[in-house]
Amino acid sequence: MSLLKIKREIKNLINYFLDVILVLSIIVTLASSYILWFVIPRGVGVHSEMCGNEGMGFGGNYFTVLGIPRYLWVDIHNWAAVILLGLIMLHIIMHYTWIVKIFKRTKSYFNGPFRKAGEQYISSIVLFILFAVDCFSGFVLWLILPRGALDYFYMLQGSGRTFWGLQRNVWLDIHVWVSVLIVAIVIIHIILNWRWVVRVSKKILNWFTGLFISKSKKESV
Amino acid sequence: MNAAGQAKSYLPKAALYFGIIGAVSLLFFNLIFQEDWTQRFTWLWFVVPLPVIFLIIAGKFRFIGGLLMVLLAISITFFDIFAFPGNPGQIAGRGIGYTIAFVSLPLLLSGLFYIIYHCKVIKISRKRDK
Repeated sequence: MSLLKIKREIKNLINYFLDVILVLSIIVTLASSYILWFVIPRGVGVHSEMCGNEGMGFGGNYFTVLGIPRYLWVDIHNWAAVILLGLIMLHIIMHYTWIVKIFKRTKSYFNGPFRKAGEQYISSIVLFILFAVDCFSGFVLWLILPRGALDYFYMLQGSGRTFWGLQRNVWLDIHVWVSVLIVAIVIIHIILNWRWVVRVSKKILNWFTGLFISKSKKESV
Repeated sequence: MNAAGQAKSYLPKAALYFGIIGAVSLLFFNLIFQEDWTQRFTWLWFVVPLPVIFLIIAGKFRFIGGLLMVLLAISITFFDIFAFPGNPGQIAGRGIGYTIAFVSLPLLLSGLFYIIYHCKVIKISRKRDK
């Protein structure tokens, strides 16, 4: 095997394991966002007699999922997203040469026989833009317009705190719907790169099975 | 195949991708309605696989699949106008504007692309016959 091929194989392996970690952090972020959005949304708490505020705001949100209360799930979601942001930056740096190369030959990729590369390029760019929007809206919700006591009632009246003319609830709506779009585009991104995923997975599987076969052979000897 | 022919064949793929976006968005649209305290909208779970089924149909019969997608997009918009999930707190992502932009529009575009592609194929085949 030539040195260039070995280098390429090592890069492939690094990319693959980075992608696996990326997928894992996406799963953690998604799972925590699912819990925050649908399982223990704001306003679901102990109600009526046990909670004078009908579970809204500071009076509610006593429910837990896996023994973790809502405010901790928010922290898990935030920090998982920060890790995800770092991994995505790393992913972009690792694929920087591909991005530059494909950008220079964009025209040929849309008309010629390499259309799939063009599709991958578009999906990557769209994914990056959506992720940037989602990160920004997430930081606005986390650091610029954090939830405050009785915020909900001001928000209903339309007199809540704003950033760039938008209230917190609008930022939250943008954040959640853009994340839904990200999920959809990630599915498309995986479909487009499916052959590469299968090829490298098979190689790694073969490598692992090779390890065990050689061990058993040694034992029999 | 020439460049014009290849450009045409982008339509079913674009339709498929928009269909996937619509299907994922519809799942979350359904989850928003599941926040209703009286659980009136549990039947919406049966709507979730519909775009996938329609995409499979569109793979074989583009016009019918596309038409079904368009009908689904329109019916979801009307459903959102007339139905309201009851919850004392804030339901994130709830609103007709969001439903149209993120659920109905991708499904509508997917359906329209399939129908346009079907019409183009018919036109080309008629020209060849002549």
